Amino acid sequence: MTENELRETLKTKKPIAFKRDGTFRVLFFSDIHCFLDGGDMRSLDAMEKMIEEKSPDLVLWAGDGPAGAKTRDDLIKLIKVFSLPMESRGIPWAVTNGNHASAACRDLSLEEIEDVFEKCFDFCVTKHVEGIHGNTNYVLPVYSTKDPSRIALNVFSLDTGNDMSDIDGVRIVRGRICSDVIKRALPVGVTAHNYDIIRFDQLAWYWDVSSSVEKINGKTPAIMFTHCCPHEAKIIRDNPEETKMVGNFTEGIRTGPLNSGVFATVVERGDVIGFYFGHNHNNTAEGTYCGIRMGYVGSVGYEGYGVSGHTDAEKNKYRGARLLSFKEDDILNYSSEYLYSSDYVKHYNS
Amino acid sequence: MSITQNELKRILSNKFRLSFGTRGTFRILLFSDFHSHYKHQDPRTYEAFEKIIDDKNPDLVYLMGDLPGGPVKPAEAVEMLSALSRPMDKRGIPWTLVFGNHDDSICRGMPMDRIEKLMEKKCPNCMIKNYGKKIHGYSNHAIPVYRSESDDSISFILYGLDAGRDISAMNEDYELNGDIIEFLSAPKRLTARRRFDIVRFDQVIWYWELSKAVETMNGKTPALVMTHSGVQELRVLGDFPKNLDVDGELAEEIKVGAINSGLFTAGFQRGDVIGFYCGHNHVNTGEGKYCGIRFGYAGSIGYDAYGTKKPHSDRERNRLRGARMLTFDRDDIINYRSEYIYASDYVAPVIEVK
Repeated sequence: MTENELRETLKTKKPIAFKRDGTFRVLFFSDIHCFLDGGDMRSLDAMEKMIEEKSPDLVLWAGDGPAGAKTRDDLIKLIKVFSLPMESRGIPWAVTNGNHASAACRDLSLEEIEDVFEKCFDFCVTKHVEGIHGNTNYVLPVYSTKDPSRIALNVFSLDTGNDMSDIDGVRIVRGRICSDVIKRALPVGVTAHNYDIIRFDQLAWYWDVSSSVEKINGKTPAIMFTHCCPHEAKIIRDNPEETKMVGNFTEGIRTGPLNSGVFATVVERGDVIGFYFGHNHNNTAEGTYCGIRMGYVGSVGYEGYGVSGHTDAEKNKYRGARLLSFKEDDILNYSSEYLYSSDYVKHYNS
Repeated sequence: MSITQNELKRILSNKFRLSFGTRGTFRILLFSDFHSHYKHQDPRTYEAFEKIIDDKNPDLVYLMGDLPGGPVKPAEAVEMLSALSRPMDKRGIPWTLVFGNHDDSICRGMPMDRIEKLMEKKCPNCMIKNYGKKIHGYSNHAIPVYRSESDDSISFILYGLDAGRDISAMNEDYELNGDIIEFLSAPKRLTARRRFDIVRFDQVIWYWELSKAVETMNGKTPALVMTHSGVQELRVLGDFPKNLDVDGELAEEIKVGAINSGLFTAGFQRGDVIGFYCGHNHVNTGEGKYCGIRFGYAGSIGYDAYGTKKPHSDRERNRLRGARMLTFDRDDIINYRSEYIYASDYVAPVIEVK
């Protein structure tokens, strides 16, 4: 990547930087699953109250946000409602695509939906890269407050894609994939893990950007966020003590069928210190493996599925969001906490 | 990294130009895990090695790593390599190698790049070379097989990638403080044992770019990827033997590198790889098909290496010794034949003393 290309890659619509007191807060919302006709408005209420209380410097939607809009105007209207907490306060925000991204709007392609996010909101800093798979691949540099020309932290987003039918020749069998050839020999009824993966050209793009940033800015800590998790999330679940796991795995780990190698790639590049993802609404766990903190950001959307239970309170027990708080002089030891929606909005016991 | 056409020419030019001959077939014999010292070895290793070569008359011999049984003294390294290459040298058969996790013992104390150079120099028929210092590993090389002696179109290509040595290099490179190793003792593990390094991302990029450059020049070209320890996806062979039409045995745990390098997924996405072959697990001889790609083990030819868990019977312990033969038909590359050759068909078992 040339220096010009890199400069272009690092541009953001709004400046993002550590505050004068040397802190920077990122608040993740995932799986809002919101519709134009409202639905359960506690999703928005919880977002509003969390933002009010935590005053984040950057809000990231980790996929599966707006759904069911018919026209472009409907989609804009819908996003306007749910981005109001950020837009009204002037907080930069960005999205990564989830597997339901294409369900956001009937009339629009994924590229056109991306365009709506990029063009129609003052503080939405989402971007994309031409020529590689996926739409929401980008990096957001967060600048230092002491030396405003230096990047203190990078935020990478990679698009984990839609569903697996986009991958040629692959079908799933009981959570594993097999080729068309062997599918014939297998029992019917396979639907789990039906997602695309981060493709190799996306990894090569990340590697290139990260290496190029290192040349001009030195090794720069980064966090990465995606909708579906890397396969290595299993290591956290299976080794809770060793990974110092906090939070829980209430449901299975559902992710793309093939291991894209994204985890090995970020380990080898050495800049990513935190890797965050949504998609499994009821998982809130975070742990550390190979020096990288990996964690779920939960689901803030009351219209999304929850845990099974008879009461509203049981069903929505794990609704929430994840807050990361960075201090510029000790970025590696940032704090990460799961915020429960039930502390902000009312849950019912019947 | 992108590979220019000039650089591509340099990568594809080897000591020998391999091509289909008049008979229209091309045979490759894969031998792995010799683990033998040329002086103190069970003679059956070399006996079987020579007899199989004689019987099958291959066009290329591909060694899948782990040659020495233990660290070889520098004064003896050349002799060991000569003993190893003699069967091919005598018959004028080209051969090559990807390094295994024990191959830093080919010459005790000698760095891998010098071991690699030593083999290039001292073994006249050995095609090993290395792409260079820009990427990890030492036997990263590509061997094209041309359609005929006069035809310059490539029928298929063999990518050799160095899967590295033990995990300590990764721990040091990425300051992992033993994080990966710690999980060896963890109660439930994602895969079996993970004490080995992996094909690194820069090697995967190298394969990816090389494959694209080959496609530009030659069209989509079927490829085999050879590594010593295999890709993590091998474990589906063990999990779904029936569904994957596994032929052969998986008599031990599938042992692979510490983390998933994404090599399989990259090969799958490039769409040129038709087979992944590896050694490392001596008593796995299976081959199956996953996502349209054949995955196979080359077994182990070394009688001094560990065998099956039947320590009291020589016949049992060495039951699965052997090699893998791949036979390509010029007009139907994709449906090449792959067969496991049992060493026991060539050498007699030792008479047991009770």
